[in-house]
Amino acid sequence: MSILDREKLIEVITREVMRVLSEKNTTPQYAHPNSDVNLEINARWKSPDLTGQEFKSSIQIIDPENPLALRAMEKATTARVGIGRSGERLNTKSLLSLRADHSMAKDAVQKQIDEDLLKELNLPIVQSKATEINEHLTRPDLGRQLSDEAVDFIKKNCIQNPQIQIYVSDGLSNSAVENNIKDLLPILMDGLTDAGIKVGTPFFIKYGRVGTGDAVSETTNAELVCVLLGERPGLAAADSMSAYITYGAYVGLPESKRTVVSNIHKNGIQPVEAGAYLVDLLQTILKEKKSGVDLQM
Amino acid sequence: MKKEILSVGIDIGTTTTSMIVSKLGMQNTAASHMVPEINITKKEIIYRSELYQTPLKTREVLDGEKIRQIIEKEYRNAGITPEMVDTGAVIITGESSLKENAQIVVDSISSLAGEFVVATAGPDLESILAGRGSGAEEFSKKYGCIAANLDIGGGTTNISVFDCGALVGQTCLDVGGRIMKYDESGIISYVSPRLNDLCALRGIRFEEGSRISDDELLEVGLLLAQTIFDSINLEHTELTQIATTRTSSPLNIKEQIEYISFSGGVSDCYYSDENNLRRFFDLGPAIAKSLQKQKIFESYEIVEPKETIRATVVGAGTYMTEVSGSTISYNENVFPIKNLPMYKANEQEEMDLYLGQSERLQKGLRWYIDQSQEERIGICIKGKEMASYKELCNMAAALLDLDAAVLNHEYPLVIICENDLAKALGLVIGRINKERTIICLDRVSVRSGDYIDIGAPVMDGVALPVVVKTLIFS
Amino acid sequence: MRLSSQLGGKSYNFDSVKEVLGRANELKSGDAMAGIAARSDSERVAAKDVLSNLLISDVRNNPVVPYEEDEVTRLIQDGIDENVYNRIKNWSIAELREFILSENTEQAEIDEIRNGLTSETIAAVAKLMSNLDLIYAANKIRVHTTCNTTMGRRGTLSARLQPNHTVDSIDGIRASLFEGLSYGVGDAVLGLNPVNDTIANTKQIFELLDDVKNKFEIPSQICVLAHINTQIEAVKQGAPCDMIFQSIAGSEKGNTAFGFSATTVQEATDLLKVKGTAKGENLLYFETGQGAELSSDANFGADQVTMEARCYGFAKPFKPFMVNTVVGFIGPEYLYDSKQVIRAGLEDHFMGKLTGLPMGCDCCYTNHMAADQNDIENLAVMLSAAGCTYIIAVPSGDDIMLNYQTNSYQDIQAIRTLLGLRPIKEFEDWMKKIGIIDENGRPTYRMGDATIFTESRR
Repeated sequence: MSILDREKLIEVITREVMRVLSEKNTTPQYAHPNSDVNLEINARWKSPDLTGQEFKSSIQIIDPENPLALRAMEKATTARVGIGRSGERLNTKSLLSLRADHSMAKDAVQKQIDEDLLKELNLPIVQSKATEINEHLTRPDLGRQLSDEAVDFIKKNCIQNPQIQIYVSDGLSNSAVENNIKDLLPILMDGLTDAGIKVGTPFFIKYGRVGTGDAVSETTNAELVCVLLGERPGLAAADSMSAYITYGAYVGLPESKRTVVSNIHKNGIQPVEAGAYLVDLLQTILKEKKSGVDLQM
Repeated sequence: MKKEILSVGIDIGTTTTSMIVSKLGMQNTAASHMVPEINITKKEIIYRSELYQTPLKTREVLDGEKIRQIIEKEYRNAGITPEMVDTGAVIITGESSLKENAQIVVDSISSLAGEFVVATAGPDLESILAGRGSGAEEFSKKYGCIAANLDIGGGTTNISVFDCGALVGQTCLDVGGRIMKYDESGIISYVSPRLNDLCALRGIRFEEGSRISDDELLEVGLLLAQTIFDSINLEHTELTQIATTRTSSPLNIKEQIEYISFSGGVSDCYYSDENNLRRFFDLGPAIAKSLQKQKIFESYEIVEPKETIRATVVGAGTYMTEVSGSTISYNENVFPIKNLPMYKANEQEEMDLYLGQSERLQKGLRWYIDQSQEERIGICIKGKEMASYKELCNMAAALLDLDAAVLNHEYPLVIICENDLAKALGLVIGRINKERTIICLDRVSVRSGDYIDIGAPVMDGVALPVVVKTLIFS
Repeated sequence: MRLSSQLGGKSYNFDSVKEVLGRANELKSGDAMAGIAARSDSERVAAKDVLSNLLISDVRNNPVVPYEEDEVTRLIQDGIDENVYNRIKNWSIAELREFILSENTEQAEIDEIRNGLTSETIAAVAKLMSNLDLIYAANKIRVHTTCNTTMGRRGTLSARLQPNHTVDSIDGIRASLFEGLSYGVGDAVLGLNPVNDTIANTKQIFELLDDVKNKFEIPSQICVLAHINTQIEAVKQGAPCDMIFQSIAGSEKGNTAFGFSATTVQEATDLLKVKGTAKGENLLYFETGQGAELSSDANFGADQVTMEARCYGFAKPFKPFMVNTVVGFIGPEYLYDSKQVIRAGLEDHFMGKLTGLPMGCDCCYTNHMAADQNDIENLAVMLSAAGCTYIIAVPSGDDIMLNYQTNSYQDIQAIRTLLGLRPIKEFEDWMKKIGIIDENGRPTYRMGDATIFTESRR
């Protein structure tokens, strides 16, 4: 290290130490002999959530050339910029933040659906031909098909020939189902029913894929199928839901015939608002008799 | 599909009057697989009028007829007709007779109205518009810094502060080039009472009819420069206490300002190094000279803004209009709606709505209507970022209860949410009451006492232009 | 041609060369889904044995997609130099493997036989290689290509800077660009995947990248990874463009599903020669990835390694500046876990290099795979040891637009230090000029400070 670098480093360290010292309440509070007091301190000393914005807030460069530009950059993107480095590696905070977000995403994929929630929403569970989670992940061809039991159940218990068939499916995130569906589905159903549309009986498909809707369309003979599906989790959101809408779906339909509304979650478009938007969109598609690239919006 | 709106901005200042015409382009900025998001993405000024002396009947009262003639002439020069204009704003500045002047402007340009604008003002709004129009907002965003714009006009100094493109504070001082006027021989023809209040702190007083010397001009200039400096320096001295416009409040920001730009009439003296103190027979050059000379501003870096004397009118023409869309709800095309007064529910009133209770909001609203004597009123709520369907249904029912009990049914029920919730709220209200005309907009922020204009639908009906303003004759 | 083998007292028989190629693959979930993977480990090894004894001519004469039906097969077969082929056609695949691994074989020797190898042959030999074989063999080969700068020299590791943004915000893209540049990333290309595939948007991003490139005098190239037709239109409308991109597949049907053909690629090349902003002769960028053909039902019953090799066969005549596999993007139905992703990454790199392509890799994974950041750090180090031309990097490894993870900007610098590798010379000089590395190539305190590119008013 050259003398210049060392001087620079000392300057940087000194500045940082002064900054930390000048901030209030950053002095560590050590355990008090009285345990009650301890509890109180612990309650107040709430550590930030590793996946929260407060923790994620990324600026970690010490002594940048243009500190304010850094804030402008951070505001311009959700990419993790201005995060600095430890030698030629990530800072510990950046590493933990990434691992925390990844853990949420992984857990969302593996999570089992909350069956009580489905009961509460009156959603019977049927299953695709995938039999367990790993088969679901590795065999999308099975996930795209309905099990024989599912076909039987739907034919016996659900409204046939509806104008619109709506159903819910786990896709790749049960967190998405749990966090959104309770508010998304009812407003959508109410809105469409009020508009005088014959809406099919909604249900839940376990281990479903986007394309399972094509099989649902053939089974119920619905004019339009809309699946509310958990998206593949990203680091930004593990509970993002999408609506895939297909007019006149059949097995083997090209993907370009689907209309997609994605990013439905707390920090995207909130579920009730997405539901209200879908009420209009589904009616437009029903009227136009086409979806996907054919639909000029 | 209508993707552009034509906006007119008119600034009737203490000294000068001008007009600009701009085109505001809208675009869906969301990805194709997401819910559309309509934003104004392009602001292009297509016409700038010349600067006129603001026509006055008396020292303080505007000459409505002459103003009408100016605007008519400028419409012709710009090649526009009233029918072509979608939105815009008139800003009226002045220390006194504001209400009277506003009424004069409304009356005199009503024939030019078409889809047009009504007079708006308020010192804080004017500060913000000048800051945006000058380019200070953009500057702070581009360079990631805290920038203040000081719009020093004839009667007021309008200050706004931006941090990385976000407004963080604004204030207004009764300090301007024309708070004193004199003739060629230096005989004072006008001095504002506020100036003498300030001068009193230095033991000076100016009388109309007396003569002012160069030294005295510079001394007053220095005093006013010091006042401006104290204000942005967050030193709330006796100077700023006296000078702050009564309807504004002193600047309150957390971070230190780094860059300063000057706009308004006095800024031209500042940037052009005007040496003739008596060029305009007012205090403008003296203030500019004092700002330049004084070392007090050395702690800030001074930059030249994109717009100087036209900052306010550019702000009025290009920054007053917002669009609300695409997830909004309206069941009848009753637009445009003009000058709708707004009431903003407080936190407790809004929380009650989610529980289905409107009594608290009814009480607040009744009181407000009694005070303001408004016939019609719109309601603004913040709106939860994650509302449950149950809460939404409760809120819809509560709002309809309130509508039945308090509001005038000759007018539509207008609800504005700050967060993106309007389409859902509109849908649920419509489920309960199909007959009522309802307009629900979101992503617009208003306060109690604000007025809004809602323009005719754009972008295939999925968005509505909205102008939020503070009317002075309220 | 023997299509059977004995193992552990059991006899294994195969119907076709295509079947042998499939069964001989290391386990991949995509092959299992297609029903062409070995049904047991012993069957896999039996198939490898059969494959090792097949002659180069056996494999050439049995393309996995018929010549008459497929443009890609025709490009591959017609590109064979018959003189070279006749010299090696009676080598077994085992002999080919041993020739490549021999200490007497260097790049020159490999270059001499390259034009006698069809993509199926290249895939076949990859199936007989262990992971270290793939690394060791690939390391013998360097491919130099020139767009604005020349990439691929021994001793270098380049990187693509991928500054993606959720809504293509110009300010947002610029922030990620500056961040990456401050880490010395971007000597391969400054290349963005747009969200909205429109001509206007593509043009606007080209202009941003061009502006940054010129303003800071960055010796590199720019690319906007929209659909090829969108890029062509943008260039026609005056967008500054060094290089045109397209995702490619190993069959004509696969390419049709991507919405282009060989003619489109030729059109792009011809256009860039006239209207492009680069001075070199390599003006294309291709991406590939195992499993793409199966996902569009265009694999013709062939395994994903063989179809991947055919992508490279398709790419070869167009002389691209850069080619990379986006190895873990496709998901667990094709590559289940990190073991499969790492294997695929090593295979793809080796096969690309043996084809004679400037091969790089997007060492990536999605959140529904059994993989994490540790795994792709492993892969990046292995590939860099294998002489990989370039890898891809995004801010902290998290691509906010494509919703997957790849290497971080920091990874590039760490691997360069670790393995003694350097960026492209001109780019390294530029890094010194802006002061992020010192004269010895070591990071200075400025490295990682994106604000050195911002317009400070001070």
